[in-house]
Amino acid sequence: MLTSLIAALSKQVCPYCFEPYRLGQAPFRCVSPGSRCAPERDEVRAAKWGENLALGRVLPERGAFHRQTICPACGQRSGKRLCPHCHMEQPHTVGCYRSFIFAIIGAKEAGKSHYLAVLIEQIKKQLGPTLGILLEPMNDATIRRYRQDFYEPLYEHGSVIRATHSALSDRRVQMPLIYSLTLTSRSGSGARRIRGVVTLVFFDTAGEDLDDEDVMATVNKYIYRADGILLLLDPLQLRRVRAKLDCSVALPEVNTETATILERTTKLIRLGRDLPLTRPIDAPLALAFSKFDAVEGLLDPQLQLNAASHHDHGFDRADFEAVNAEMQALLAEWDSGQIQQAAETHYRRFGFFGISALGCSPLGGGRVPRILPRRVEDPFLWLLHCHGLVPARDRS
Amino acid sequence: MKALQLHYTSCRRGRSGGAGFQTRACSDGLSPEEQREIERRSAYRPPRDAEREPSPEQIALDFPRALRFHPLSSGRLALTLSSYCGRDYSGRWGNFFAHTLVFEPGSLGDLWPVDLYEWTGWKSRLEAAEDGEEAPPPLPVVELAGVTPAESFQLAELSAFVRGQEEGVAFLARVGRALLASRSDSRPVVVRDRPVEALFWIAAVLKLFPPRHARRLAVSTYQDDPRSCADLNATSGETDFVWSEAEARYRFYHFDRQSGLASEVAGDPSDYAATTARWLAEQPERLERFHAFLTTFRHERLDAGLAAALDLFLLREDPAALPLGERLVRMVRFAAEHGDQDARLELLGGLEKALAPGSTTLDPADLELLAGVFAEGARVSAEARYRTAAFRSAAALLGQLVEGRSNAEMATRVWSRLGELLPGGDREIAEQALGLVRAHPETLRCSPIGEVLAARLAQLPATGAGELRRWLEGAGGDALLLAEWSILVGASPEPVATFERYRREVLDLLPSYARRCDTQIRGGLLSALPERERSGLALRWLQSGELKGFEPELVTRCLELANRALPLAVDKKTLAWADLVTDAAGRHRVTLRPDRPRLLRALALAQQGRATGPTEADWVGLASDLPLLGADEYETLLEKLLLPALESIRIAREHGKLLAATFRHDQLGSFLDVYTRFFRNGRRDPWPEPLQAALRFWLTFDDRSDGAAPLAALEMPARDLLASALGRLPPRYLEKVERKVRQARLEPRAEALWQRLHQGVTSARGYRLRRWLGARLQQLNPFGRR
Repeated sequence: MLTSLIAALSKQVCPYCFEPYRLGQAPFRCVSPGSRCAPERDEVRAAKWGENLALGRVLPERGAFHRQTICPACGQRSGKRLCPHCHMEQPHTVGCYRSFIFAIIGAKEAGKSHYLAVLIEQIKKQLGPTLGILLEPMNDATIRRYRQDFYEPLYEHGSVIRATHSALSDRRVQMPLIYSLTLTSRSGSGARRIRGVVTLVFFDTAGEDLDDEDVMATVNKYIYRADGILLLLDPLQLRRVRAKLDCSVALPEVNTETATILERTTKLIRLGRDLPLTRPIDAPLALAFSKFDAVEGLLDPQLQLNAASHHDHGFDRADFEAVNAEMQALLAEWDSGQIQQAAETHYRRFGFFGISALGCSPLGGGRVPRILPRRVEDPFLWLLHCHGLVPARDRS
Repeated sequence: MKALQLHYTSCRRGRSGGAGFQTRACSDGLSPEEQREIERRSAYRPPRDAEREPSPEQIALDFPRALRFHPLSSGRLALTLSSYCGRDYSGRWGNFFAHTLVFEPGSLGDLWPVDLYEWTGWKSRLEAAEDGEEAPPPLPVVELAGVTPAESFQLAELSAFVRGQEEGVAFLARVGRALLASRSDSRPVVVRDRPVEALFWIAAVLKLFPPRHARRLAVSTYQDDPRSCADLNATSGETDFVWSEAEARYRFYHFDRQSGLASEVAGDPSDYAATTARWLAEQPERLERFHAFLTTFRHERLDAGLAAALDLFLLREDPAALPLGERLVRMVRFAAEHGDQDARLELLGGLEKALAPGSTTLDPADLELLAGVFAEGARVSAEARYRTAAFRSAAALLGQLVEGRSNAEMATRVWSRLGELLPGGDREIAEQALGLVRAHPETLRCSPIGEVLAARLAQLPATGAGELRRWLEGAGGDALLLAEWSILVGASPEPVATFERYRREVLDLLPSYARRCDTQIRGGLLSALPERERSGLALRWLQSGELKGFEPELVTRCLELANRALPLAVDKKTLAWADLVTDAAGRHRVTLRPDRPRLLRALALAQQGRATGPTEADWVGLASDLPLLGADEYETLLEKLLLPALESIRIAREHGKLLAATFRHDQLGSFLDVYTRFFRNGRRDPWPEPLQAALRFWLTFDDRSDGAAPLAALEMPARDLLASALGRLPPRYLEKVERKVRQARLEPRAEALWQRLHQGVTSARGYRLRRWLGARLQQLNPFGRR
């Protein structure tokens, strides 16, 4: 009852078009098979997403919050709720559990897709059992897309993930990966209990879509709706690092300045949320240096960064603070203090991380010899911790 | 034929200013919206089961190229060739190159989009040397006027391809049929096969349709994303399409050559796709001729019109191949809507056969259509046979009207059209109509034709209508004219005014018709009027003397109406009216039933205090008239006639005759009311002669005697009334009555009856009391009046 009341009163955000709406305004889609209720073209969806296929009949909203509605044509009950603005199917948990949108952004070739692919596997296989969290895809599209675009190339074919297309040319890129995250713990008697459930929405973005303010505002609206931003920084794009490595590592093409992407992102968030410059941004910002294995040679072996993280009973705050401090020092050393400066100025909460999704550089031809992720879960856990979803564990 | 260009790929430097996937270069003249639309149609993801790190040779052989044709919102047409090119400048896999040509609408001439597949100007990758840091210049506008259509997709080549495939013709027909069906149900058509075969299937399906029609379709020769599907798609290997029964049944028309999965497609009776698929495989030159034939029509939609066009083409090639029924109609409609004059005339020759008597039965709508087409053809070509065919169609339509299979509105439209298009058309149709009316003399059947004639005459100017009517008069078309009149007067809110106008405008001009049909015309008028006005009109005709010239049938009807309208109220006017009716009825030997003038006269006599009349005939007449009156009128008549008549009768037999003449079994209650009042009326003389006559009648009444049976129902109530009346008499009056009865020397039966009656009266306690009181009073006042 209380959940229904809260759901009816609160505004939801569509994870596809990012327009806010109230559940009472949301239509439904008939779930009957086509043999029972003839599918029809959804004009709203066609206009918004260019999808001309026949879909289940749209059942208009009834002006008040209802969990289900009945199709007048076939009499079938349906709880498949649509966004009133774009007619995309909303997660079935909408209105029941809070949704958290996490944006993974970064310059072209920063390793966003690889990070996302490895992160999800790590949560499922490593983090989940130790922290009592269960990550499950919310829909077939997520299962299919994760499997086809991320898991199969990397884990089954052992090759690098193909370049992500610009959302301007391939609308599939705009489709989020939607997961439910169930948080459990053990009671005093040892029985497992569910602490809560949240919906996680991940976006993988083509780096080139962050090269232009207008494009960002068109296809990356999710950034200013995000509850957490994970900005991947490629250390191999930093001039000082490139100079220090001096051809000992295969260097990528020089891409958009990381600092520029951070500036654009900040600007987009401020514009989208109508935030004055005097107010810091609430969404936590995780700045993670990817491909950290490539710069291992430049680091002091004693650094905490080189150690593996252990989040057995919660987010390891001490480890985070140590790594955060080390990363900030490294930034200063690598002549990129303006990134830290920008984060400090505009964001209430931010943290620096050093990660490696693959743990090694791909071989020539794009083969990935092995996958040994390092600290990929750190920024994600920190974001969850910022929202109170994962408790901190202070080491003695 | 000029085209603007656009290149989209992942490159170091393009129009965005940065690196990555973007429009690298394009011609000046493309709007940002067009650029955005083209980019959305450019994406290419290779099949998932394709080699992940292929060599250039493998790309060329195994990776399908996507030729995509789609209209832009601006109205221009875009043709994109997207090709996989493996790694991009940064060494990452997944790059593709999309080269787009943008045409002005209508500039592609006779080319199918797929004809440009082998254009040598396509660019399929960016060479490393081209991908520098400098911004690329705008692309030039390309001239494609001399471009040669792809050799591989010539009809002959496609014919060989289809014949070489297992069940190729049937498969192609199914896909073509699905494509036609998809125009109304938004289910994209997707064919999955090996890359080369898939491309050929798309080319073959496209070439089932003429170029202009094919260009109305969005096409993709390789599609990996179901959500951005074109109308007609090919795909290969593993893509985002899900090949399930559900998808194949409701969301797509799926045709998978690998698994054999195929959507069911509803059959099309004319089966355009099957015919053209067969031609493509077996007679490609015939298909080419068909494509050329269709260029003479203004039609480019993929709809049922194509099947009609095919029928037209077949009819042109073989006049014996005339389609019938729906197909014939669609064909005619197609020619009428999309063909030019020459095309329509060419069609007429073949169509004329369709109307050969008995060759076919067509629906009214079809006949209307054909009549119009033939009339138009006859007007343009002045060919008599088309004129005849037009009138034959009209006649058939009128025939259906008479049989109740058509409606007058449709027939009127045809009549009007033919009347307007063809000189003398009105007269010719009138002749057809006349023939039908003669064949169906029943008024009911002719009525719809009259309606049509009336509608047409109303449309014509006065002179035209006059001429047509005169012609009908001369041609013996009285029935048709009468049918028209019947419609006119039936539809008029003021029939009398309509009649007057009709008399002025038609009857005065057509004296023969007026003379011959006066009775029917006036009869029609009478029928159109409400009852009250009808009688009034009949009376007016009677008073004006017009009735004299009427046919006996109408006279009878008028007299009946006048008689019916005569009120049973005695006054000077109604009596004069009654005389008029009686005279006319006598003169024309019309029997009035009821004879209201007679009733009126009886009433008048009764109200003057005289008996209804002495003759036997009068009693009989009254007896035959009264049962024909309504209950109300009967009751009124009893009030006004019976009571005064009873009071004036002094002879028992006359009393009986009056009762027999006026009594109606079904109105016993009303009768007894009036009869009771007769016995209970207060009188100076308590027992006058009329009561004595009633007493004697009922004492001598014998229901077994002749003519007495009808009054049997009155006997007992009458005896009670007599007893009651006698009981109220003072004793000395009763003695007086008894004396009179004794003097009358009654039959023993009547005598016995009187004794019973008298004893009943005198034995009553009241009577004895009154008698005793009377004796005492006499003793007290011996001089009192007796």
